[in-house]
Amino acid sequence: MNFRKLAVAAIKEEVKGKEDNKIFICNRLMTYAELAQLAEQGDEEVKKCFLDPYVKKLKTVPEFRLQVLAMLGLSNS
Amino acid sequence: MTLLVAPVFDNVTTYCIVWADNIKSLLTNLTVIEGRKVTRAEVEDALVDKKLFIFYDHGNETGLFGSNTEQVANSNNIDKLPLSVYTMACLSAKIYGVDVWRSGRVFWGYYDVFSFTTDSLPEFEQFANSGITLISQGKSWSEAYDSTISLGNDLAKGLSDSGKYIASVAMSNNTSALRLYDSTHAPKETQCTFRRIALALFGAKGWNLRRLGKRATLD
Repeated sequence: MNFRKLAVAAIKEEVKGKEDNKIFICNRLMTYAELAQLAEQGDEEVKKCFLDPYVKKLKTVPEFRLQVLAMLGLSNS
Repeated sequence: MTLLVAPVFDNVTTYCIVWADNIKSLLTNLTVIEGRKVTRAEVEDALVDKKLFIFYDHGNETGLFGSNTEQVANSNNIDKLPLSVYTMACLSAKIYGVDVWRSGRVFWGYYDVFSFTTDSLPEFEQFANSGITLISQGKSWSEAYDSTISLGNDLAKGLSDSGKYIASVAMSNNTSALRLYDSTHAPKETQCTFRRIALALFGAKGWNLRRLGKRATLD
């Protein structure tokens, strides 16, 4: 399982319908739409401040991983 | 005898001042400076005779910002601080908080960036305000810290249970970034290689190498 690809896909999926929500990370206030775009583009700051922690949580919290997989319509394999 | 400082000078600070406003009712003998750019001089003046300094908003490794350009508190004015400092400022526990603790004071802050999302503002406010809420109810710093870590973990789980995975990751980040430095919680991280070795060898006493060295010489 490629956790980084999974995290980016999950962010993009969650953002659907709430693109205008905002997140404050890396000393920047950005919309969810911008977050998804920057995560996909591999923006260094977003990677360090948000994508890496997202990947870490996917790897270390099985319940969280299952919930994210369910959102994406995938199974845990 | 508390000083609460909550500057407003950008988009982010307009969110956090709401959280700061909601702790005012918990505190007695409170002096408040908020809602605008704040200068170092007025903070230093207002700190006289205070027992607790609460600061909401931007910080970095070396201090707390009252505006885009000025740190109202950093390692050069630690002597003006009261015995305890409580802040939600990003990164402040990295260097500044350690310096505050090494001066014999209690420091509550964040080792990494404090994040929040606008779809879950009540949860992030609850987490940011948890420590000072518990302290105002008579809990010790240590008890407040342990309870706030538990709260952060519970909130992160609740957010993911309700499908807010982005907010959940941000909450988990905040929880793992929260630090309390007091008599029972010494800082464990350092940027300095020699200090890292000293901490590995001597534990918390590694922060007082000069004192250890003097004692060894006297012995």
